[in-house]
Amino acid sequence: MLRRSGLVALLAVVGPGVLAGLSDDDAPGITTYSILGADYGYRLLWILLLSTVALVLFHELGARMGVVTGQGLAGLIRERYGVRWAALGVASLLVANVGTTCAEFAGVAASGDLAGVTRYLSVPAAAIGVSALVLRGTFHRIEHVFLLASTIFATYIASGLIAGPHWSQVGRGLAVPDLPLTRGALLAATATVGTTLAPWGLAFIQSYAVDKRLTPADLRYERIDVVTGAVMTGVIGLFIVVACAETLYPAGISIHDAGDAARALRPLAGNLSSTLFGAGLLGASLLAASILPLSTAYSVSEALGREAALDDSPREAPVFYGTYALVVVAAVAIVLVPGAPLVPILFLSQALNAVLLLPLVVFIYGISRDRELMGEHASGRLGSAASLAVIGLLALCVSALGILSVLPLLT
Amino acid sequence: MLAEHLGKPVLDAGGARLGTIADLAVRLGPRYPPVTALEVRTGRHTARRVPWDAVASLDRRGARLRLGAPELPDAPAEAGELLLRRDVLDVQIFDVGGKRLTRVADVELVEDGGELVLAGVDVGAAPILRRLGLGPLARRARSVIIDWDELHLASGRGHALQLETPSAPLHSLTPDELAELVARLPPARGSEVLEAVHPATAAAARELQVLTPEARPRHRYGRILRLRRRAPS
Repeated sequence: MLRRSGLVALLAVVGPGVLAGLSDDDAPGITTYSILGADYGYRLLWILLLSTVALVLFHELGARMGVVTGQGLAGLIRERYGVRWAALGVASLLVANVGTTCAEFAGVAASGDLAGVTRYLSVPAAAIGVSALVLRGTFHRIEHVFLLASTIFATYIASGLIAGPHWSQVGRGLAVPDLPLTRGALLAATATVGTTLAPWGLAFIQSYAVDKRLTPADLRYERIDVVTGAVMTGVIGLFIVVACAETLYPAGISIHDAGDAARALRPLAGNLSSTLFGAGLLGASLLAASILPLSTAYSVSEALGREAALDDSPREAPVFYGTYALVVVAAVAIVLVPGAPLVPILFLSQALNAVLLLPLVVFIYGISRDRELMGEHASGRLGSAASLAVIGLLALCVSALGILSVLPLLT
Repeated sequence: MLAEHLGKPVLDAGGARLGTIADLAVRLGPRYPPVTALEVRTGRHTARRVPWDAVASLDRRGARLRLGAPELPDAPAEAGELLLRRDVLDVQIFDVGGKRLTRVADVELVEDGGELVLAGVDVGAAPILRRLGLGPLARRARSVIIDWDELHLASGRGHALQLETPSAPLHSLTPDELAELVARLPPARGSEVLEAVHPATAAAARELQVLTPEARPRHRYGRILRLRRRAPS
């Protein structure tokens, strides 16, 4: 019998964790981290740490549920909680994902602007590029292009290092929980949790583990994949915060999006740092712009019972590819329509993501404890307690966000 | 259809309300499994099982029993039975004719020689819309009925029970259909099917290390390497 080494086995399993994790560092994510660093320095870093822990926890659950049951999240919700919950969940996912895909194409447009390319060229080119990749590739080819593309995130680490971090302050920010009780700070904290742990990321990691046909024997390696992906996500977020905290924060510069951040970095940290920041934004937007429609397509097909795989042809899986096309076309159209209310759309889709996250993690919690579905891989007491803690934290964030949005209307 | 009955009232012989329809049990074995018991939800956390003999009628308005509540016997749970709502409705199946995985949207029950039998499942969009309360849209959507003889339950209890039931469809598939089933199911279930239906083939496959979980990733990695080698052209 041939023996394979642990490394080869790991390499064969890597994918779902790394891709689902890194695609959470997307255009809205980079914007959120930039604002966090520019407005609050290192004070709120501990929230990023907590979010990363929550990401490890729930991505591991998602991957495990996919591997053990062979079904995606939307399909499992339909099997366990019925067709109404599944329909409601998938309808909200569809709306939120179109909104978030808009944010990704807006990110492409912003990084095009930085390089002097008009959005009427950069956005359609990006849409055609990512669609061609997903529609024409086989599963393995698509996966390898994605993994290769995700190395672009190294630019953020470089950009942060160029800014010259004060490591003692970074350590303090990570270890000391400090939250100024202002509307802005609470909003930034909630947004950080919401952008790191995204509903479509949770749905994606599970569907992808199913499509990759991983087995329970792969779970040991799949955990390494998930932890690696989540930690990389957190580390990259950390360096984005560092880049902004070392330059924009002391200068007192406030920013509104990631493009602002790249522009503002130029006089403070030099051309290289600014260019790297812009390149990272383009790569992150492109990766998420291909994964978001894919995640949506998986979820819609599962809920409707038209289980589909990347290796199926469009003729075999019309719902899958139809949903993919619908999300891309709708998002591109919204971004390119002159005078479209882009800012409210982006804000609302982020809010919807945050609200949607709560029922989704409750469903995941319920399914992961279900011995009928999960057998010996069901969550034990410790895992359940940890998930409950995260659910409590999220509930706190979502209600804080709700109160903060309603309060100004009352006063 | 099953979905239209669920949640409807169950009345005893005297017209007193016993509870609502929670589930129907069928016994695997015959080609079309007969309904053997009615599960009645009697309270928030309480239920009782009534043998099918004691049910006088079942229609859109609900179920009517032959006896009064006090005389009703209890039907014990049997080993080879499926609960239609729990184990079949909304569960993933392999459709042998269409060679694909799909999901049960409703369960078709048919009166056959005095007994109610499970005839097949509907996997179309129409029952989904109907269950969501979108009746007008449902009339324009399609029903896609798959005969009980032409499907394999892909998950949990249904999968395990069908493996053990000699008359289950998976035991009479052509080699082509069997290959398709094994390829579409999650890897572990696929090898269970092969093990149950074709032990010799399963042994040969193990010999070639195609099916064992330890071997599969390496096997796949070989494919990736080949892909890379071809890529420069």
